[in-house]
Amino acid sequence: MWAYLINKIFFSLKSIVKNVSKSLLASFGILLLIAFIVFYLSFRTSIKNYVSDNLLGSLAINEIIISPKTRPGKDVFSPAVSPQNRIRIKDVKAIRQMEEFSEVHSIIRSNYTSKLAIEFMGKEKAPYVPICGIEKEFLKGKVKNWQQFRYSKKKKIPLIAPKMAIQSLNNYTAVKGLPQFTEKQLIDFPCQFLVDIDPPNLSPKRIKIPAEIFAFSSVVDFPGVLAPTYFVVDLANRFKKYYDQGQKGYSYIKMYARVKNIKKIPLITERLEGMGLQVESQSDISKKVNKSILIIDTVFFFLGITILILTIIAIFNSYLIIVYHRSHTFSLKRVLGISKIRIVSFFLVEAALVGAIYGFLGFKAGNYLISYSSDHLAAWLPALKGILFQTADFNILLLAIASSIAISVLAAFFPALLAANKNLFKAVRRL
Amino acid sequence: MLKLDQISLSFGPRAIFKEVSLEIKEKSLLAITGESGSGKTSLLGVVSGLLKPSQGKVTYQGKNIYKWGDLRRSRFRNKEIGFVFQFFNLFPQLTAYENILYPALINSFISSKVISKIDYLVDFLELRQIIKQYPATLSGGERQRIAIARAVINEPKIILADEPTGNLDEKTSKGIIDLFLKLKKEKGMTIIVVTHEKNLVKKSDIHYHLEDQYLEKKTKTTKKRISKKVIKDN
Repeated sequence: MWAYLINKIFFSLKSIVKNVSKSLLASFGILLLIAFIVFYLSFRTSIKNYVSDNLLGSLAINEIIISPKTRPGKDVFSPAVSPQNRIRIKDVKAIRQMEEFSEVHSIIRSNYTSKLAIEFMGKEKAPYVPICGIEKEFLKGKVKNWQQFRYSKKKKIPLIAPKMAIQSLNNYTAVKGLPQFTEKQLIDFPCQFLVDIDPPNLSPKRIKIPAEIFAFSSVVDFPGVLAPTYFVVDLANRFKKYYDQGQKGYSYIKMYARVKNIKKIPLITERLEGMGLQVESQSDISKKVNKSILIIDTVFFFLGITILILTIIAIFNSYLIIVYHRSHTFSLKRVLGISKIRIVSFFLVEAALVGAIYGFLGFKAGNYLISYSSDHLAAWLPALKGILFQTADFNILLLAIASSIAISVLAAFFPALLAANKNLFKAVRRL
Repeated sequence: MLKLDQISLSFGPRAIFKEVSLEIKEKSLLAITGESGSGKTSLLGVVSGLLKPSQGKVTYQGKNIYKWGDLRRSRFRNKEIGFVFQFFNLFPQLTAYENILYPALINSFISSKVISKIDYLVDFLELRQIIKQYPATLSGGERQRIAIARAVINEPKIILADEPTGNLDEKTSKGIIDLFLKLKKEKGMTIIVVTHEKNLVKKSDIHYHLEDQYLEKKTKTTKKRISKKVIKDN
């Protein structure tokens, strides 16, 4: 009995191995398709995580960002800030008095043209960087050692730089062939604020103020640096004498508010928009992120569908050729007593096995592609430097295998029916 | 056992044969002759349930086989019918032993009887020396003996042979004919042979001739006339 059983298993295996190895060559397209799907899913997840960490991560569900409606070309962070692109004082007061908010913090921006000078490997770089001020209380729970973020005339000014600054720096070091820097290595890095003042009827002056990097954070994501509010106010007061009495040395450019009841966010948004301001909330950012992801999805969807159709057609044709080549065997099997349903089943099991093999290989190929992209993409597109491409996990492996089996079986189904319905009379005559 | 009742077969407008009726009894050797293209092989196809006739019915033990579903008809082919072909039709990727075993594996539950059956057939058909070889390494006669062993492994009641000696030399053909006679005598099988081989026709119990779309039963007196015609054809 055992010999019989072993024979039966051996038979099936021998037949499957031989046929599957042929089908593997015919169905190579599945590997490309699955690799594409795995790459796409990993790429999508990585982008989504990046956006989520850098945009959504900084904003709690009950927080909103209030900013002026920026006109094109008149950004609040441009060196020459437009008077229209700021929150008016009366609006700041009104917002602070709104009962719907449990907490309100404002970001002010120094109106003087400023640069941040950094000496790096013997060379000094001094790009234009707006100096903004924020209260340390705003940083509670968002930045480590937030209590230390305070202004003292005797000490270097602590500043918080956006996380994108590390990426820009590493892009620069990469181009120069220098080593890359981690966030930790750059903490306490010395630098200098260069503030230019150009008072009417007086010669221009440049003031140098020592500073150091306190933290990198995406908590406030804009192309400027954050210093304690008192520093920006003090700076304005120091230069006040050179300017008109009515002009402040700083502007309100953003406000962060914590809402008592999140259900009221739409109403609050409506009210603030009525004041000529714009409001961003997590749901608002989510919508924007989802829109971006939708664009990626749409592009990949059409690309994927095209590859899918081409793959199915290619596999379908290959299986038709396989059926043609194996028609003699199929007919002989039918003559010897194998039913149509078993012929179809055998064929589909073979296709499923091929699908499973390519599902696994496609998963590996997709993961290799994503790893390769992770290493090389930043060299081609420096803007993507900060994105950490994550390889696909076990769930994606299961999905890849299942999809691959489904595609292979779908493409093989019609040829399988053809195989089962070979004209046996003709086959017998030819046999 | 097997009965063909007013069977007609046509492909489109072309009639292959008309109103064929015959009854096949157990333990008989039936020879069917006819010119090439006369429909002999098609008749075997109809008998085996492979080719549905345009008219008439084929009954096996009183049941119309074309009323059965594919599953039952496949089982019928596997269990009740053994096929032997002119060009052997062995699976080239399987050894002689595996080829013989194949039909037994299709619809059987695990049984040690099959192994002993193969052992018996190997001795009966004198295949011991070649049992582990692949078909490509065997002679025509050896392949045909393997094909016969495959046809009888499930102990079918009927063997359908389509010109089984058509591709063999005279000496080997004689051996195959003797084998059929031995199977009929010792195993009690019914053998239906489509052939041009005069010796086989001579040794058959019943001889039918298919000509001009009609099947004609030849008696001993008319057989001589038919034999001459066969010789002339060859």
